[in-house]
Amino acid sequence: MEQYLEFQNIGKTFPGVQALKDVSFRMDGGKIVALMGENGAGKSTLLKILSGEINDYEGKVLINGVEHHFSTPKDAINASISVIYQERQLVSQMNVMENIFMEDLPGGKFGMVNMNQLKKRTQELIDLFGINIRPTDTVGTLSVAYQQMVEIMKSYRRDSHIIAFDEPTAPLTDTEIDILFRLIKQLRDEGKIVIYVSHRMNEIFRITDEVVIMKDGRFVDKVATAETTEAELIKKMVGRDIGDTYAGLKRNEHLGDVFLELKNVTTDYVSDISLTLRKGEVLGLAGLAGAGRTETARAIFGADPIISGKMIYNGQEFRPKSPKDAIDKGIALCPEDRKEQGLILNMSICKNVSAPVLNKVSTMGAFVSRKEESAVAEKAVETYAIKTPTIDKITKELSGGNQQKVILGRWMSDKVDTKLLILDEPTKGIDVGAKAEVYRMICEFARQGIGVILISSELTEVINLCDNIIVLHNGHITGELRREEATEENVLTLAMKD
Amino acid sequence: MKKENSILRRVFEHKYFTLVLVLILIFIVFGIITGGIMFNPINIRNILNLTTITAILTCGQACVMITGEIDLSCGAVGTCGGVALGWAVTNWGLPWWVGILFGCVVGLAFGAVNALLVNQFKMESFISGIALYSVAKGLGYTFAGSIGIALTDSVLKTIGSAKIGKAIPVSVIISIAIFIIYGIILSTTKIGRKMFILGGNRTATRLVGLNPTRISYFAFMNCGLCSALAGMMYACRVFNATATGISSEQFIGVECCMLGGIMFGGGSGGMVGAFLGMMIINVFNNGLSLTGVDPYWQVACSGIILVAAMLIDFLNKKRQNKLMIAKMNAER
Amino acid sequence: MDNSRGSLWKRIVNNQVSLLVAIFIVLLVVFQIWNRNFLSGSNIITMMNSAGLYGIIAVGMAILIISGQVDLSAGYVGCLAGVLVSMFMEWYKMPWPVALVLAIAVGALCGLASAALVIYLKFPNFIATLAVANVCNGLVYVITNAASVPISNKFFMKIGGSTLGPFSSVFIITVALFVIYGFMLKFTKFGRQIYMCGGNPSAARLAGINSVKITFFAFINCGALSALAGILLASRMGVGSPMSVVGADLTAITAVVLGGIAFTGGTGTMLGAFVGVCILTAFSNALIVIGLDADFQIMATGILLIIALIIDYYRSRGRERRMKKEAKEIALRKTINKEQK
Repeated sequence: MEQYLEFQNIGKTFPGVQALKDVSFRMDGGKIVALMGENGAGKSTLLKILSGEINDYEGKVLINGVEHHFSTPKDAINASISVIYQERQLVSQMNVMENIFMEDLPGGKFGMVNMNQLKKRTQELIDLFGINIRPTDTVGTLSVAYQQMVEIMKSYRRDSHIIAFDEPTAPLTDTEIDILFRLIKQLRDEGKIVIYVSHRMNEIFRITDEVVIMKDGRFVDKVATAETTEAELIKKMVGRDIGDTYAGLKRNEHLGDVFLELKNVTTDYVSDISLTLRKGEVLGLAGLAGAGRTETARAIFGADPIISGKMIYNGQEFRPKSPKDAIDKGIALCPEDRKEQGLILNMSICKNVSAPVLNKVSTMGAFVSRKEESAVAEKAVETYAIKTPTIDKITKELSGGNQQKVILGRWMSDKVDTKLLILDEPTKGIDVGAKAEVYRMICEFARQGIGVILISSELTEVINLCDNIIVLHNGHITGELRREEATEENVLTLAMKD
Repeated sequence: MKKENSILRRVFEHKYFTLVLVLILIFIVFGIITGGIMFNPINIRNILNLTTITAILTCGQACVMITGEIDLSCGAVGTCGGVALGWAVTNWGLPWWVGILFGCVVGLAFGAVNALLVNQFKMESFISGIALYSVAKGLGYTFAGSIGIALTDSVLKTIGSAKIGKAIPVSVIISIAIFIIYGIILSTTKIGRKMFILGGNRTATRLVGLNPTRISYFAFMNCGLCSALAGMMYACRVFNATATGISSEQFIGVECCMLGGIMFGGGSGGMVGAFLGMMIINVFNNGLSLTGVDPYWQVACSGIILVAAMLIDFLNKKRQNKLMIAKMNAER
Repeated sequence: MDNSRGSLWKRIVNNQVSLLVAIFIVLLVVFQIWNRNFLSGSNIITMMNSAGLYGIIAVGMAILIISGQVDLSAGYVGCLAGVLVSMFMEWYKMPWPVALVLAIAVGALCGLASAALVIYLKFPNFIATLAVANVCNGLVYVITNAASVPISNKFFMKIGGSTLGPFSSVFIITVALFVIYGFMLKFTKFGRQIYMCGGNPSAARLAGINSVKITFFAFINCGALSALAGILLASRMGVGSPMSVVGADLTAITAVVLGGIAFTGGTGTMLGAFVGVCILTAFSNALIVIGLDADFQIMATGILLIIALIIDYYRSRGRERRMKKEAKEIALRKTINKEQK
């Protein structure tokens, strides 16, 4: 019997953003279906609904025509669904066979584990997949690739009919990718439904039968891989009506001298990054998740050590050992995760704003001057229109937009004298009105002669705000575009280029 | 009419309201049970007399807890401090102030080791505290022997038992002063602010240009110093630096802090709350002994108080979360 | 990973348990040379009794740590149980089996309390067990008024105080417990589930493992075993003393960590824990035999724990670095491959 999985009118809203809207499509068994879309298109949300991690949503999930609703991930597993994420769901201290049969150890008398059975059945699986590992190998000692294969075997043992892969090839070598693809094809040939979420064009064209494209939480189209091209796919993923969002933004026409230069900078996460930044320039770092944009920013800010290459700031070589070095030189970073890394949530606006400049709001060297830090905080609230009755309000209680403004207020106060502002996903989780304010502020900063590095997954932001765009993929630079020549399509193409 | 309501409401919702209420209640209840002995000035002096050592320990622990850690080596480090003092003054014949300095150095050293283990070797602070507790305890026993070292220096003897005028012991003044000093440090100085930031969000601490390791060292070393001071004070009071010293005062600091709202996990709380917590525990214990309850019940009560304190902490957090969610929903 | 390669030496070093056994043997030899009385009959019995005491607690502690928790109340629970069992027999004239079972039940109850605090009130585990420890400590003093309770039942005293051939009875009980629990851990489904619960809690949840049940079991078990240790000590010494087993939790934790059970949970074996106990006992005893005070012992245990944890730190850091390097190399190789094409 032919199996099929169908989504009907799936919707999911998070506070402040609608992740999925009216998504409907169907996937048949015996096919490998790619799920493509930019960051924020809704792919991972959809997977989470499928795997049971999100259990309150609109719409229906049907398997073979029967509606299913999963309250917990275990329900999904019981319904023959396996989602293989990038985070391992294995116990690294245990061995292969124990992990594969984690949920269903073959038992014997007195609750004992039947070791012979366990070993035999694991070996059968290993032989079936033709992989070079032993049932008794400790999972923690296997390479990431093999760990992933153990996970695949786990889902196979569960006899899952629906198997989804979320960006599986990132940590794999070419040979390992070959093995993986062979396994995936095997799954398909047995009639299972295989979902393959990936950004890599060459892989999509190599292994998938159909492609489902999503954009901004909606379903766009489903096409047969053989009948489409890369350019067509990219076109379907982009193309938005931006309306008036970017109208009326006064850009900076005169860019100053180069004051930041990276030459072949390599860290633990990115390789061979070279870029320049001028005063008053808005430089965009574009790319998909995991491309290395945040890591580049962290290197400039001194949060991650530079292993090789040079960074030249204001004409001198600069090798920050910690963020403090960068801050002293006027570099500021608004982190991607403002709650986990940016704000001290249980502290007031005032205290958050003054955090990096305690030395400058102090009296007699050791005391924090309430008067001075209040003045700074009041100014920040006023300048950025932070909606709050008082500066002593705890930041945890603010909305996302206001929280972001607090962070901006922190770094752009008079006391800090920021010359280089790095913004990592500044409009994530913020409503439209606040976004517009942020855009205005970015342009204002640029006009004041501050160099801005803007990291954003929203292509429209990058294209409409930046003077230059650097695109990253896989930890290195794949291309550079000037403002005039940048379009959503060519940025995305570069973001997906190997 | 409206103004009255708002003042009343502000009093009710004030975070120290419950603590003050509990304190007054305990005082009155025990006062009734003991037939008024509780209120006797001599008894009041007894209550206040107990506070110095606890005060010092509480303040030291408070700083560590605010940074999000805990120091479980206090009791033994304090004992070592007392023993160090005894060695320096009695055995080596050094002047009393050198002895005190020596004890302080010992305390600081232990605090530094604790900080090293937690920051460099990424150990859980409770385990490093416990391990150091054994090390310090062993050291204390080794150098103090079973009978301890008698403190015969006259200055030290007076420190333990000095009074101003006839009624108020010096120790009370010192303990209140200590709370005030630490209260000021925590709420108005840069280092105090930095400790709150570290406890509030360790990642953010680094990303705003602060040095989490240095702040942590400060907190731990301060706690070690406080423990040593408390231990030395105790030794002065009993005229003997014993091997047990203040080891039994292991958790009093933690209890006071938690009762007082210095929540576990750091980042919030204040000395006023810790002070109130300390007074509650002191009055409670004093009441128990006045009513003739077996002194050993107090030790058992210590555990129950700890549970109660954590319960309060847990409920506080729950209530705060609820309040916040309600507020955010209201704003939408 | 090719296990069969490499000299015998390398294989011993790589396998943690065999490394520990080697260290143990070396220790024995060194101390025997130092002081010829070290391996004398009576000293061995002393060591066995000591090992027995901490060993029983270590069994419970090992399972608890593997499941991802820790218990700092073990010593005090044992002390309470020892006092209770004497009290039940002497003051309430209960027959010794009843007293025994009751005292163990009390220990289990303490474990239950700790588990409830951790699971339902979300207490951090060390605070919960510390609170329980304090309550037990206080209760002990209240019950006994700081005096010891002598035991008159001769048969009962034989349980903890007799010897079978060259082995002390306590030691035999301990070894038996290690074997039984070791068996359970290694060969039964439940044992595996304990590892999973501690090793990767979210994966365990996905696999349908009931971590609440396992946590309760681990705590209650640890409490019961601690009680047993206290009872056996009371039996051997002939008194229920309020000072008896204090500090045993630190020793048990040190032994277990030395034996390869990481604090993070999910790893380690009962055999390793057993060897850890042996090493620690031999070491502490040796300190006394060569003339150092018991106080040194306390210090040594603390220092040993710190050393064991530091070694663990370096080991896990090495692993992390290796993984990062690997990931980087793969990314690099891919870029080079692309450029070559």
